Amino acid sequence: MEQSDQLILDTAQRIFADYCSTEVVNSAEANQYPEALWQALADAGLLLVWVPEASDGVGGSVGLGLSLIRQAARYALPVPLAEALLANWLMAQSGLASAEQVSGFALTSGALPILKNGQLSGTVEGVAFASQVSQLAVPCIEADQLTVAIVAVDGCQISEQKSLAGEPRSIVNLNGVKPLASALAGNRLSVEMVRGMAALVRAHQIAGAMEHIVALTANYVQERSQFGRALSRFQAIQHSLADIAGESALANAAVEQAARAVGRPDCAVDDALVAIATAKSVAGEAAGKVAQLAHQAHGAMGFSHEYALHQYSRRIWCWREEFGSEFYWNQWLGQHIAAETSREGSAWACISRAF
Amino acid sequence: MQNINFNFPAPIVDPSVETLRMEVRSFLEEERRKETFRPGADCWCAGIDTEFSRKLGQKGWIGVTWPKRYGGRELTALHRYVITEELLVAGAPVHAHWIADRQSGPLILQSGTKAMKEGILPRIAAGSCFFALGLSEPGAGSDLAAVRTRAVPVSGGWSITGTKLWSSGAQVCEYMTVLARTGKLDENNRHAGLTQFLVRLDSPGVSIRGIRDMSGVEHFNETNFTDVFVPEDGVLGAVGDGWKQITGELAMERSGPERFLSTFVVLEKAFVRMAAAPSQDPHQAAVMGRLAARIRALRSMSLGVATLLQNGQSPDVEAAIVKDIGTRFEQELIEKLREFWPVIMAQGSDDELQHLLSESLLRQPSFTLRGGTNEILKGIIARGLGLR
Repeated sequence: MEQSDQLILDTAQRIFADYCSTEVVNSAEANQYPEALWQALADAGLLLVWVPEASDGVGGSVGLGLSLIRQAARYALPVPLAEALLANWLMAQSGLASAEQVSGFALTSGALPILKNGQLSGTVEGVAFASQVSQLAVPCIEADQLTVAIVAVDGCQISEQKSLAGEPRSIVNLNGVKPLASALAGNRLSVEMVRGMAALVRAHQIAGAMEHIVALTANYVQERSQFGRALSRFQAIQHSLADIAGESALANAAVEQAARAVGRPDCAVDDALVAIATAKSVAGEAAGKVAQLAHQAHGAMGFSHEYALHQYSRRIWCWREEFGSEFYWNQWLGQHIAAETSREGSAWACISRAF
Repeated sequence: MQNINFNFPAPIVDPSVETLRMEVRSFLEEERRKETFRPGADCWCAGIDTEFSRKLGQKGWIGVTWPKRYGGRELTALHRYVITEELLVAGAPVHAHWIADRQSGPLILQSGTKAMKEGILPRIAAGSCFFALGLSEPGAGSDLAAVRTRAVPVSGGWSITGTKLWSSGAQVCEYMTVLARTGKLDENNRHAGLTQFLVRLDSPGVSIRGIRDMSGVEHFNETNFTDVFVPEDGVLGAVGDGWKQITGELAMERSGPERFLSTFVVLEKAFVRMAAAPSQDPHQAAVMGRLAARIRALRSMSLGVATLLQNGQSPDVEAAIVKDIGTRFEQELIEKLREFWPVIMAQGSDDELQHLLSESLLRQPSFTLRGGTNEILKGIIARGLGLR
């Protein structure tokens, strides 16, 4: 990691510590949007990490942005930092970089919206924080080609809903909306790769939140006593903690490797997707195991709204489903490796590619 | 709140690493064509073929990280990693030299005498000198500090008496590294007073009895030592350093690719079978894709530990995690594949996939036992988390 990257992450760390307490996270769920936190992130330029320097952004690497996103998840950050970064990444890839407005990211799991005669048609579900940003970056199809459209949120019909974690996930109706701008998606981009990048972002969020869950749980079992001794003295509890630390570590290894692969300029799209599939599969599976074991170790305390564990467990349950669950990516990877095996005669060559 | 972070840095990749991988791969393909071996599951433990190990020595693929003056090539840890993973996924019979290459050689490099380094290391690298581990005993398994093998000082050296158990491959080995008690057992400091000795297995007083395992392979042994004389310079390092040496080797021993690739040959065959099928079952693709994803993640973690080791750190907890998750995964792989390919018949089927599945199923109970049971590993991880 470069020294300037570390400085950016240190700045972010200070802002998260100062502005993102458990109370702030809880209040955000009760519709008190944490304006001060959002403003501090914007003032520090952290929303512009993936905006090129030529457009007055930070011009940060793929690795830097993903590290920042993972760090934010350790605080259950209740604002769309990850979505803003993703939107900026998508716009930069397509020559639409603009540092003036904060954009959200609107990718559907179904058929993409259509852009025809300067008007969009289609609906995008599960758009995170749509009402908290002024515009959205929307992957769509124009004349059979993957296109990125920027739309003003004011001009869309928004039906607000909430995720498992109480975060905004809205249905955005784009019918008749005229984009503020649009451009062909960059030539390295396919729908799969856009979905993959979003999946990689969610995998990093899961990894970050799980790191916090491990620390929270290790701490709790040392403080809580039953039968005259700390829970941490019981071997059954020690083994549970070893299991969640292991799953968290495995997810870390997978998301870090994928960040390196995607960040390499010469990385083939298929190799990037193999790494992403690995990361989202492993992180998604770990999320279920870690949440279950952490809640078990916490007893009823972890089930109470007052204690912070659920702010993390509910988020990872939600994130593991978005932009392809582990089931989706497992199937993708299995089919991809089988196809390569029939071409090359070996599955190992595909599995072992890149470090 | 304490900060617990597990990070797995990327290995430093020398461009010659992939060239070496291709050389190893094409050598193995050629050997397969000549039918010098049949790919086997758990080949690094069950596959003993001294002639094959000699060929690898001639190729210069044993002890590659060691100094040139001791027969090594001064290559990086990643070069060694790539050689070992290619051998494992090919199911090649590599047990004869495995322990010497992974463990005993590095131990001699670190703690051995000049005579050991000059006399033994070049022969290990040539694939002509093999080692067995003398750790477990009838009364000392997970509780290794309970070893009762004793070494007492005699004129010119030491006299060793005791029994070592499960020493894989001892029947083809020239040496065993023997952990023995040299000091009185102190119940408050049980790890003190233990010393490792280098013992020639053709010494008078040594007898080896082969033990067949449940899969039918006879690689286990019970080795008896009755007043076996070991010269003064047969002590590895300093007297009383035994425990420190053994625990020092663990991160290396526990984090390698053999801790998650022991059953990979089966998955490879299953992918070939799936690729040849006219229509694909999406559920099967998902099950196989998941297995591949976990292998990829385990490999990143294992390579990260290798990098931490090369950077001079002691990633004991990370290594225990690799082995805990990796060995359970090797077992789980068989359980997942039997949904599509039931495992009923004995090993030896003409159907390669059936043969490998059967072989793997019969061998897998040992995966989560050898080199520290998973219960012991979880204890180490829990200690790393500050719980004990």
